[in-house]
Amino acid sequence: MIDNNEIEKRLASALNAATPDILDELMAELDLSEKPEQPMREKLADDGQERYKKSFVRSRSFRTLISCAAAFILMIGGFTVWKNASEKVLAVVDLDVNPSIELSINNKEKVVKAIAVNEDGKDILDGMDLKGSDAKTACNAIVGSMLTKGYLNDRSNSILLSVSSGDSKKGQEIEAELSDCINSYTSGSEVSAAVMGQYVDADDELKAFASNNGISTGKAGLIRRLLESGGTKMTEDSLLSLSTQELIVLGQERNVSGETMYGEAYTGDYIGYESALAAALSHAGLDREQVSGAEVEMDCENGAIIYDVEFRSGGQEFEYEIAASTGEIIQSKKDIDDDMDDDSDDDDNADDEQDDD
Amino acid sequence: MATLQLDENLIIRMASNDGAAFRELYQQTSGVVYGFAMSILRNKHDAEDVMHDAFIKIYSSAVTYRPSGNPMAWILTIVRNLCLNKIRAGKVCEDLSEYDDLAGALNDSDAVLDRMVLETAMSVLDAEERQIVVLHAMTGFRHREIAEILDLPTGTVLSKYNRALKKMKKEMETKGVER
Repeated sequence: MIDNNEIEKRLASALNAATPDILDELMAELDLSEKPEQPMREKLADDGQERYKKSFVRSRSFRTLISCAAAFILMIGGFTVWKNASEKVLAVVDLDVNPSIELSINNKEKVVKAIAVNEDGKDILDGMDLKGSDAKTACNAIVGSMLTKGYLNDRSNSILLSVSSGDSKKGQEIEAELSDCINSYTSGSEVSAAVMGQYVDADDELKAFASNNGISTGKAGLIRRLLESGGTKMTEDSLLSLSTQELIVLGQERNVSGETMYGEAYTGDYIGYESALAAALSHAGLDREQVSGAEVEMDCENGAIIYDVEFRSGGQEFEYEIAASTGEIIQSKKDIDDDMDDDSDDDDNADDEQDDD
Repeated sequence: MATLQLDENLIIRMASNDGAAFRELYQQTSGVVYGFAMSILRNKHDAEDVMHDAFIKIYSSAVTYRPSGNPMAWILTIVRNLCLNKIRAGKVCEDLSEYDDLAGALNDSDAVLDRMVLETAMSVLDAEERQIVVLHAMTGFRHREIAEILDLPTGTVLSKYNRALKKMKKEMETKGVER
């Protein structure tokens, strides 16, 4: 009688024999050669041999870290394409997590220039040569490196992708394409990322605002969107001190999104709407049943995310500002609930009940 | 049974566009990748499609691979997901005659029994049994590891494995296979 071992051995042997050989086809499709170093050396000859050595040594010594950054330096083999590619910039693509990177791309959607907008951006671009690579490949390489280096993680999980272009139709197409591409890429990672994609009308004023404050045009564009959304305490200065993650959370919670939104920005660091209302009610010494017209909204004041809480009770109107991360009551205010009254515009008058605890 | 040990460094090297690493990984794993896809889809064309897509995916995802000590499980999860996507998209036509062609390709006289075992596995086992037996046969993984890949309780894998082999033996007995 045939035994288990033999059944398995024969099954494996039959399946191995039936396996088609598609290696050559795959190698051709992936444009893989056995020795990637040679063309790489030529490619980087202009930049000097030192740089090549640096990235190569790095890839050997930090075996687990090589994943994205060094990987894509070698992966981007479009040297010939680069030589023929037009230098003319069709669109500017900003990628913000905390690292901010700006890619200028030409009409073939190849990277003409990649610059780091901040220090973390330099860390990401260190050793990466993205010139001549496809915009999608470059975005994935950057996001991959952000994942590997921990800038993109479960708590700071949001990516802002912003595209600006003289050709707004083309720019919007590129934004949709790249947002989708980044979303597909991050879907395969362990981090559950959110991707906010926006088309930015980068006028001179916005560019100046970005450059004066050392932020990307994309981040500046999101700040402008938030400010224009109205009904808020936000100011330019206050928003400037927020991280990209905080800005995206704020946009998400206030329905001020870009053109595209994939996934959900992590809000677990904040106490949440219910708790914010509960904190305010507790301070006012009221139960939920005793109040009407309760509203809670996420906002930003003095560079921090807060909840604005409002409700009415016993002919009075209550307004609270609650620190979103701690639940601390930053400000409380009580007015006569009368739309027609003449002292409702007070900010800090004697009627206000200030509380710093 | 020898366990298929795949060197994790191949994936890490592959992330650096190392063609030699890709070739080596392909040579070590193509049989399992194809066999596992066959065990789920039971159709050689679909299995070949998945095999192709799986290697492209393995290559493109190498940059996000986090060393876990079990790179083969990572690869097999990719294969399984691609198969399930194909099934979900309704693109699979499970067809035993397809599989007959596959067995027909094994016409070496020494392979007659191999062919019969494969035929038997494909015809008498259900989908989960096929996957369990094929993974056990081709990777030498423990039932616990197979359970993780297939997202099944270990006990289920063990009992299905035993039942599957009994079914196969019985079927082969009726076909008059003696050893």
